[in-house]
Amino acid sequence: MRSPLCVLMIFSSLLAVSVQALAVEWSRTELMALLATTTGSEQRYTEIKQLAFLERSVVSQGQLIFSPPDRLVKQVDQPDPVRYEIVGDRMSISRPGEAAQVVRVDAHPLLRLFIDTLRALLMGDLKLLEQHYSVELTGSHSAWQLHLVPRDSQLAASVDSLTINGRDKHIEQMVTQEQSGDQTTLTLHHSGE
Amino acid sequence: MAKVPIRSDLSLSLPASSDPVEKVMQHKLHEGVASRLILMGIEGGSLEQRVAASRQLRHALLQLEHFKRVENGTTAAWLKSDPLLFEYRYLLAKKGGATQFSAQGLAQALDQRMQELMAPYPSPFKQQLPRDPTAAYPALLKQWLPPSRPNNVQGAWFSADQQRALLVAETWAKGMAMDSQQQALDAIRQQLHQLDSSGQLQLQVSGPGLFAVQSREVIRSESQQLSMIASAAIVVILLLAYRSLRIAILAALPLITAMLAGSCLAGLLFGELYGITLAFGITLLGVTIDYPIHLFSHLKKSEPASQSLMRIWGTLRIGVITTCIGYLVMAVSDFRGLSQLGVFTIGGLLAGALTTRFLLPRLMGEGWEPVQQKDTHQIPRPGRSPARLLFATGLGALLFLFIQPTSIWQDDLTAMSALPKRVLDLDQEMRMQLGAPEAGQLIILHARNLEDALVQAERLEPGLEKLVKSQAIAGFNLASNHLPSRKRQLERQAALPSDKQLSSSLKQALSSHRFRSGLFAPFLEDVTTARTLQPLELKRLAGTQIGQQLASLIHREGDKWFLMVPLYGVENPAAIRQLITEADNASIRYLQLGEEGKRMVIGFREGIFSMMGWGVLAMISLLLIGLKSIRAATLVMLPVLLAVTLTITLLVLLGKMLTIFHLVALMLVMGIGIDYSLFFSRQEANEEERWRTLHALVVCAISTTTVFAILASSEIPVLSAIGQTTAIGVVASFITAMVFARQPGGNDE
Repeated sequence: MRSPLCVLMIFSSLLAVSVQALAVEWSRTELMALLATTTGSEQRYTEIKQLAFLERSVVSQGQLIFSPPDRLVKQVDQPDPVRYEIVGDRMSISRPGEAAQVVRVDAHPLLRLFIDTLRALLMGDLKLLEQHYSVELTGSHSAWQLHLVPRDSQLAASVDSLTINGRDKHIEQMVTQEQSGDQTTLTLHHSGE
Repeated sequence: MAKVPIRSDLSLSLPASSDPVEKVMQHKLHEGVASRLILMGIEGGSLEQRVAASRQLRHALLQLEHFKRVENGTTAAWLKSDPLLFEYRYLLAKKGGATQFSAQGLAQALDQRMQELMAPYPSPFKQQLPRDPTAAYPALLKQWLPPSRPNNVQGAWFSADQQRALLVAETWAKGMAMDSQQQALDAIRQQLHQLDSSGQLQLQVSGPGLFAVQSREVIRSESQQLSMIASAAIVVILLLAYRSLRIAILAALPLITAMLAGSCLAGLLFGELYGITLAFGITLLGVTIDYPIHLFSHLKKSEPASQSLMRIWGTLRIGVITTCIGYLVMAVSDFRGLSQLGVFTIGGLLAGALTTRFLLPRLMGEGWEPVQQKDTHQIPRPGRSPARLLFATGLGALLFLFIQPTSIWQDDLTAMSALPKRVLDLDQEMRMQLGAPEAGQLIILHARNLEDALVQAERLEPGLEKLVKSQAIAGFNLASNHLPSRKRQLERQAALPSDKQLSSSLKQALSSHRFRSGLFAPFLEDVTTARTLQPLELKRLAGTQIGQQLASLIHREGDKWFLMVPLYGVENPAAIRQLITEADNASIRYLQLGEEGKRMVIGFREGIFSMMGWGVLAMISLLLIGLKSIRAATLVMLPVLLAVTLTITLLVLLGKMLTIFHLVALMLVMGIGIDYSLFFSRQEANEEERWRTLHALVVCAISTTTVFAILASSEIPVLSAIGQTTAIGVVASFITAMVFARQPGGNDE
């Protein structure tokens, strides 16, 4: 009844599945390894926020700075200048002409998670990402897309998904889709490379 | 009998108070929220492990039926918006006032909301923006945060050094409901054990429930252990004295019937037994082992046991009755714990004596007598001079006690705890790390109804704010902060703008913003609703988190409403006292529980002391009646009082601070002393009979001293206090009774 051909077919289809799995796994880890080579970055960005509460979308520009392992700066230059600087557990928010506000990140679990996500992306920490999101990678080396869906119910209540587009070791765009329908698109401008 | 409920708390130390405030405090102590809290600490492993364990433990415990709430620092619980409180935000929130609704105030608020929207992280209040552009609700949540909070690491409470994750659970069961508390504690240990696969984490638990359970355990296991050793010692002594196993076993009978009878009587009269009554009572009943000893030493081969008994029964009877009279004074006292102890002991002593009188002689039959030296030559008698010397020493000791420069009394309640110091220290430490209010520092006020009490609290608030500013205290927790008085709510309501005013201000404020038109229509609706709301009442908050907080701050006792105001980080008690004095209101009081507790202990101790005085008087009168001679009664009582004086002096010389437990033990010493005195001064028929009496007394003294010396070795302050006092007291009583013994025939004068 059971012809050798049949066995071969089953075998080969199994093989195909595992090869495919291997391929994705490999490229996911490879991507993370690539991202992990980042030794720090300073990039200009443009951000578009489309919010249901506002008449029009808001376009802002500024600079993103990351110095591993835990210093992150978002400097908004336009339209309203403000600087967010996170070092370890402290986030300071400073606006020109105002005293800086300091927030303890650990006291706000959601904020902590959000910052950790960014750091994990920038440092290629696949383990941390997988702990908090279901991670899906598509595309090729020269044009990849990471799709993150939060596992944490608290985060999932406000964030629907994060989509990151990139090329090689560079993140080019990050789209935050919120449950409310609001969307934030952050585009990074790589200079010099 | 087995069903007599046993209470293992230390309420014995706290007499039922007539002061209403003290009553409330006692109620809170035993049944309030504070008594139901269990503090938990997780140490060991890595920081991540501790964070995860804290989260998982909370989750696991919440699935169990024992716990009403479990908190570990997760803010989610606070942020979960409560529709009722959200609706009432404009009546409850302190911040803002009328200015928040002006065009300028609104424009400022909108600026801030815009900044939050533009921030690179999600705002938890975003969805509420159209209803609450002034962020009144987040302000309200902030207003409700406790004055001091523990360190938060990744959403879990931690000690400052991050070595210990902290959790707090509230049980449904009262703190003193020991079996339920025990179950809750077991559940916590089991859950942590289950989720800690690495075995690296250590759990620390503390709280009033645990203390009660542990005290019970410690007292139980320690008394069990010590009584086993003591029983073994007694058996050995009896075997040596009588060389008969049957005798050693029979000697236990009166003690056993005494314990049963004591428990039954106290159980019948009081419906429940304090564990501490049982522990003390059994100790006090130790004297009943003397009764059979007297009998055994007097047995003769040539006569039935009942006849031998009759030769000593007269002396034994007067001793038992005299001792019972002493305890009767205790039994009729106002202090529930003490009166239980009195009843227990009287029941036990009588049962022990009756067993010796009616049961033992039957069991003994006849034809047995102890192997003893039946020397017929005279027992050497102490002359007059040792008696004089002792008397002089006694007077000197009395003088010494009177001129003591420092108090010989220990009035600190914690010094009497059955728990080791490290357990108490851990509790203190965890409380501090959790930012719990200052233990035992509290303002308490009362009024005829809740509204008046809340209005008083609101009046007190500016003064308290000033104390915080001047750093006299770090913070306070006022019930009116959670639930403002009706009056205050109506004031806030009246200050709300009309629809027309508000929409025009909003329009003006919006002119420079990019918010979608019509976005804030729900806000306008909510303010309109707020203007017509009935002020929020306590009963509507039942079951909410604020309701739970309020339950620990508000207490109703009959037609009086009490508000507790816990204080945090008290630096300057004098400033608080001054504030209360200035408030010039008899219904507001500042309590320092340490001081209050001391006051109560002193009152209690003075109570026992005067009771002992009355007890001595009662015993003397009984002796007068029984012995029909002033001189004989004096000769019996004098050595007893001398022994008590010498015992106290010796304890003081040994550097002991006396507690109520020492006093209770002195009652026992008096009972034993009277027995010794009576037997030593018996009119004996012949020298052989004197030998028998002396034999009995020596066996009694050796066995009692041994038992209490064993008790003195206990680490539990209560047990060792009783042990030391009694061991010293028995030796002193023996010596004084012997020295003052009447000469044969009473013709020594």
